[in-house]
Amino acid sequence: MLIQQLVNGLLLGTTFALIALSFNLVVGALDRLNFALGETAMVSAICGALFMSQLDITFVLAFLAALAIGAVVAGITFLLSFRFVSAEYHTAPILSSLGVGLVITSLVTRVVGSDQRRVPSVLEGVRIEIGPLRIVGDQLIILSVAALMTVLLYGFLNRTPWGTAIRGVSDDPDMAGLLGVPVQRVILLTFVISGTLAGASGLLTGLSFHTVSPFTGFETTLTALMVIVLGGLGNITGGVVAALMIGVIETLTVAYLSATYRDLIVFLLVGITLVARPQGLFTRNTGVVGRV
Amino acid sequence: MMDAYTEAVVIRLGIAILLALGYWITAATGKFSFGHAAFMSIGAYTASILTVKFDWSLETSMLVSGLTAAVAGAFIGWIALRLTILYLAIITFAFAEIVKILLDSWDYAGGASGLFGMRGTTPQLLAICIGVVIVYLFFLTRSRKGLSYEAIREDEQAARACGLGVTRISVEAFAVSAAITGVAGALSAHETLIITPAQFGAPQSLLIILFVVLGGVQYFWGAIVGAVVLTMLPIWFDFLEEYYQITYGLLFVALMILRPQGIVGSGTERRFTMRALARLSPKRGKADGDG
Repeated sequence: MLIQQLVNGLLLGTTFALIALSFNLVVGALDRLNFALGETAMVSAICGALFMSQLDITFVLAFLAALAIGAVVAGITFLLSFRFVSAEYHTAPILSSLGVGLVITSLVTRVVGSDQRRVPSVLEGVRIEIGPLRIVGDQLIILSVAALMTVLLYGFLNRTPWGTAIRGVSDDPDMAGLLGVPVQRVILLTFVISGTLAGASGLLTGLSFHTVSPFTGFETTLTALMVIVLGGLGNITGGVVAALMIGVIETLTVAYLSATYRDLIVFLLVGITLVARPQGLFTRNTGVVGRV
Repeated sequence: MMDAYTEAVVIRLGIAILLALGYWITAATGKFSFGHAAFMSIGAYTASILTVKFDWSLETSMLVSGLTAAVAGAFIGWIALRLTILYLAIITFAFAEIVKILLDSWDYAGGASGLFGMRGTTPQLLAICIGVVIVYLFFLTRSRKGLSYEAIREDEQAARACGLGVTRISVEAFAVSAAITGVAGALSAHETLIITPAQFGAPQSLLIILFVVLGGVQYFWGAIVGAVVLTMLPIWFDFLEEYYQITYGLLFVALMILRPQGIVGSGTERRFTMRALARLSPKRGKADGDG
């Protein structure tokens, strides 16, 4: 039973890891947070669910559509909330992206209604049993897609010229600019990738609960914020580890204590972390805390 | 005497002004809280429990709720204000959520279905509160402390280098701001006559921020302008009621691009130009250093 809960927790954690990666990429690129990413994930999930249930298209196509929608929404958010907002005002991008989030939520409720949408399960017959452990097809898909995307992202960031440019801009945008990196386009690329990850996380989360609601945007943002604070702002590996941790903690709390304590325990943990180690559990203090 | 409708509008307006002025104090130090609705709900619940369950008068329970909110504000400020603005945003968001979860599961205060049984409030009491706060702000902005708020807002490092105790001053401002917000919450609870934890969620926090950001943080009367405009617009234009979320969202976006300093206030460079747009397109003549 405990092992089953641990595995469920890790699975929940992988979806958190994707959204945390998405937030952390933006923190790296701009030292700013995009508060509309939760809503971006929600739009992708809703559209993906609608495509699958109404248009009857396969999961793979719906998933790709969700990725594309996430990318477009994040690109628009960049233009609206970051590109043309004065850098002098530190709160301006926060407020502006929160505004974009509000607009997204109310547009979605206006266009497709405020009902919850069902996400049909994929790979219905598949189920793996190892001793007492049981993994169904949906969980298998979530795990493999999330792992694949994380690995691809690592590969992209570390092995390709554009990935190197992203890391360079994240380290020092002025120096990267002087060396000929088109800084603004790299930042736009970072936003688009982060939107893709948010979209993936949205639809995968929907798949794991079999339902998506247009009001989960802010909740998603909040969870992602807890994860990236725990892992250290801008720390990509730390974020992944913290996401898995929080996934396990939440699942265990729901299973053995009560669902009402789920968020409370996470907030408490993050609160203690902030007092004792503001730079996060897995970061040496390298000055990111001072910069953002 | 005013008729009931005018009185309701006046009270709503007054509460909005009180909220805006309260928020202005922390915004004046450059520290933006994103969970001020939590202080509102702390104030609202404290006052309502005192008046409904213990039969206290509204005036005394209002003061107690201000004090409670101030203590909560000082605690949150102490955790968050040593860190940077992003952490402050995250912590205040989480704090508002914690308060909501706790109130949701507190059966004594009605839980998620809410607390009721309050008797109404009067415009006079509200006017007195606003008057006291305005007098306080009038003297604050002309005092040394007011100057130090401005110094911290404009350049925190320079202020620190000048020997200002930045953290202590910001925490104090945050606590005072929370106290006024708590009192406003107490009064609003006795106007709506029923309170639920869900009323004081993120949209309410954002609305309070929008009051101040629309008006601008340079002068405290800018906050009053913002509160009046944003409260009267949905009353004057009925159709806004239905689209208020989209309107407020777009208002944030437009304001941050065009006038991040607010309607009242001065000084920013223009960033939205055709040249900046053109720089994003892939077809560029030669590599110019953007960024």
